[in-house]
Amino acid sequence: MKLVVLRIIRGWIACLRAGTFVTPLAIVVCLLCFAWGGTLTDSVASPRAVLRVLAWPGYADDDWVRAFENRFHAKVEVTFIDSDEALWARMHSAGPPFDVLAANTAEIQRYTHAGLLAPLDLSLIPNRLLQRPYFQHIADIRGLVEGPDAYAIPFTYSSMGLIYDRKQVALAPHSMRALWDPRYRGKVLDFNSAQHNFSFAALALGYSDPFNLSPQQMRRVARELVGLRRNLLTYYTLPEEATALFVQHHAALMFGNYGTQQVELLRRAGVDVGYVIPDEGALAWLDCWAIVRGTGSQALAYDWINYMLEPAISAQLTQREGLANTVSPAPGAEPAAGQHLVWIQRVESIGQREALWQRIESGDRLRSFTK
Amino acid sequence: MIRLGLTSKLSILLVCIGVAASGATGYYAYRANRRMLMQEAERSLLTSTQLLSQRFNAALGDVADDVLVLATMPSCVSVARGDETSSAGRARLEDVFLQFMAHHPEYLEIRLITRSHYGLERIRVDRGASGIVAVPERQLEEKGQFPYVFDTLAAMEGHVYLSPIGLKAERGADLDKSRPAMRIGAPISDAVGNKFGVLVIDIDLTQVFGRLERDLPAGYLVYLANEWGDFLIHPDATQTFGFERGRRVLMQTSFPATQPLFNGRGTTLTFNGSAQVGQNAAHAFAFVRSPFGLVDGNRFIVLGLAHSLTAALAPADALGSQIVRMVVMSSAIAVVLAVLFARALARPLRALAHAATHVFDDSRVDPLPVSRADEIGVLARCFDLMRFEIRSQMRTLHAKQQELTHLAGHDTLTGLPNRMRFMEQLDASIRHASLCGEKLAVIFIDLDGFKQINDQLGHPAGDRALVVVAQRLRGALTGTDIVARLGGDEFIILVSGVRSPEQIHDAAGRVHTAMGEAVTLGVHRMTVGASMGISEFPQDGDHAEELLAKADAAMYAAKTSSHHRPMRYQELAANEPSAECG
Repeated sequence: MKLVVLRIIRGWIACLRAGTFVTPLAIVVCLLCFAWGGTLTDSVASPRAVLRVLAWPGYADDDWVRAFENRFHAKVEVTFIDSDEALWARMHSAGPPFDVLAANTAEIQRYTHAGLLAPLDLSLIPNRLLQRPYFQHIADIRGLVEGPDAYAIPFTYSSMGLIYDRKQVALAPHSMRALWDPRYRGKVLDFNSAQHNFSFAALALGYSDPFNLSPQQMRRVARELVGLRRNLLTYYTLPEEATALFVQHHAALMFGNYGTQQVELLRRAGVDVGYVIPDEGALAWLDCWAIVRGTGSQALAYDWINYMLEPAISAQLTQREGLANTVSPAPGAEPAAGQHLVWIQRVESIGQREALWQRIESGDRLRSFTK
Repeated sequence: MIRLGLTSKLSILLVCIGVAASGATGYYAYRANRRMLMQEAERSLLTSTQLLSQRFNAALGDVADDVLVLATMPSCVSVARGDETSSAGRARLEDVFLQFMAHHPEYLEIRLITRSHYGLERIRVDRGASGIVAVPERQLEEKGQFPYVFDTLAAMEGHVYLSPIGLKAERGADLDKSRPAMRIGAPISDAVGNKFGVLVIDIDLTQVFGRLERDLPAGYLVYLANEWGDFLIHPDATQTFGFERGRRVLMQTSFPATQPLFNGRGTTLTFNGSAQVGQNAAHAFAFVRSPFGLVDGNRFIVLGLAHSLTAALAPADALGSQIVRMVVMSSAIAVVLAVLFARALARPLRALAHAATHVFDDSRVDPLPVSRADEIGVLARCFDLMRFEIRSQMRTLHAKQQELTHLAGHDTLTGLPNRMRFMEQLDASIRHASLCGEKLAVIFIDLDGFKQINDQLGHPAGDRALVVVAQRLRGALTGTDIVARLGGDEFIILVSGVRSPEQIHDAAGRVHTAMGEAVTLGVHRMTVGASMGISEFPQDGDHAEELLAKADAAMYAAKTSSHHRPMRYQELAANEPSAECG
């Protein structure tokens, strides 16, 4: 019996000794296998079509990209940009050309005029039919259609409406003019931005084209903005900052530059706020997908846009980024019937607006602004 | 594979142990020293940081005192209220503000702002590119929309408002637009506590820190972040005020270790690392979170200092190189000692091995280390005992062998060589004599009266008689002559070196004389007598057997003859024909 045990132990030791040679051998073999496998996958991957996407953060999350790659057997290279200027620079930089991009309506118009975008065959994007009717009628959205051709498909948007404290403002305001209401003096918050302040003030004054103001309109708007300033508590820059000010100083009204995102923040902070799109309309930005002219992966680009309009993606976009999508109606963010959103466009003179705004924001007195 | 001896193996093992031990000790000493120095550097840096933080707060306190002094000046209330009678007071206040600005280079602006008229500035003294100026009335602005106005108005009397630290970018104060600045304000109130306006001083933090840093030794890096972690001061100016450019640069991102300060877990921390990503030079860092501002009580700033560890660790590196030298030296010593020790241990073993291979060669063996008290001594003693045993056994064996050899060639009774030995000697002598041309003679002796002694006195007496005869025969010999007992009462003598027949004759005569004496056996005296036959070499033959046979024949002839004299074989041969004839 003892002998048998001794033999077993010897057998073990022999195995272990053999193992000292077998283990490195096995590792080497495994590595070789991986290397071989790697080259195999590479050789399979190389013929896979590549789609180059230029988008804003949050528009092409990794899991969406992976799912798309698997479904269409393609490889997606996403490049993120964080400003309109960066988008323009990327489109004009050397390197492999992009196939599909996301930009707001004003930028789409600019790219279309520059001849950088391909006219779209809308029949290749069947998910468009899932979009809310408002976003299906792209001809009504300025900047997306040029002549007979459509150039971009709406994807996500955010409006710049009016946020109000339901406790202090019993009736939902109908106009941005509420910001000037002396009843709320010292309880109003405004966003510190030249372009949007001029545009929404012009809208509130009933000007038909708030992005192209005549000199006279400009002077009028500037004086109105001084009036607004005198009614303000202060200006804000970041949504978190606005929330803190709103809570701390019991603000009643606020121009919601970040729209529904801000409403969400305030509700989380425990403030009972309402959000309205004023009767004269609210400024809004609308980001759309477009296909770059002359792309080699046109079919894949159509697939991408179609994929982006899927209800699941749209729902996740709203859930993750707090941005309104164009497919499922988001509660409280829906442009209801009669409410209209004024998609932002390039303004007549950024420089002039900036110069005036700096004086307004700094506290220049009304008497120094000519009528 | 090289087969290493015990010395080499032992040397290598001991060297390895010695080098590893000294190396490990040196390394850990170096590490411990380095860690200690680092901790020390961090500790002193933390003290500096805390001191800097305190001094910063003290500096802000000084400004706050100035603000409070100015806000309580008698003409402030009337100027803030915009009374008709205030123009004289306004001029005086403006002068005071100008004086303060002149004495405090870090003050960028001093303003008196009224509560009414949307926070219109009543007095503003600026530090501009062209120096300190009082801004004309028409350029004054409405500031009611700024927190430093409405928050200061909300502050209690006698308290100050501290603004967040921001970039000084307001129009009219464009000395340097990218400077970190902050505002300290105090409410202006009358005797009953009605607030009519605020007094605000803008301060340039770069200058404040510049002055604080002057007290620090050179080479310190200063970091300052607000409560969200945005860098306000950073050695690399492009990292500061990222939020103003839409790209936030956070302290807790650049230095993840500082995260706890922002979560409220702890107010100080130290660590070391590189000041910038990709930079190798190690720095010690100390960060201090200190409360900031008085408005809501929970605002804070995080102040940090970094200092290169190169200087602090220089002693560690010096010690490191010294340790390396020491390790090298002690390793060398370890090598020598290991070799010596291994040799010392192996020498007695080699001596034992040598002794074992040369057990019977005493002269070539070194003395064994039997006196040692250790295991080697035990081994040596055991081996020595074993060697003694072997030697004594071998000696006994040799003695036995010699005895056997002797017995084989000698007669036990008389001690004389026996026939076999005699024949060997005779053969050898014949060979020698034939080479040298010498002559030999063989004398065959047969005792005449022996049978009579045996019969009359018994065998023991016969034996004694034989012993006596043998002694006498031995005594009768000269030189190299040999006597042997052939058996019974027959003896034989070899006479070598014969030069003349007389010599043979003399020998025969001496034998005859010796045999002629009576032998005393107890009470009896018996005459033995002997018959002798002589054969000669080379005349009678050149073989031992032949010479023996011829001497025997001559002896027989002598015995049968009447006169009993020794008979030469040549005589016998000469008489033979006559005998045959007779």
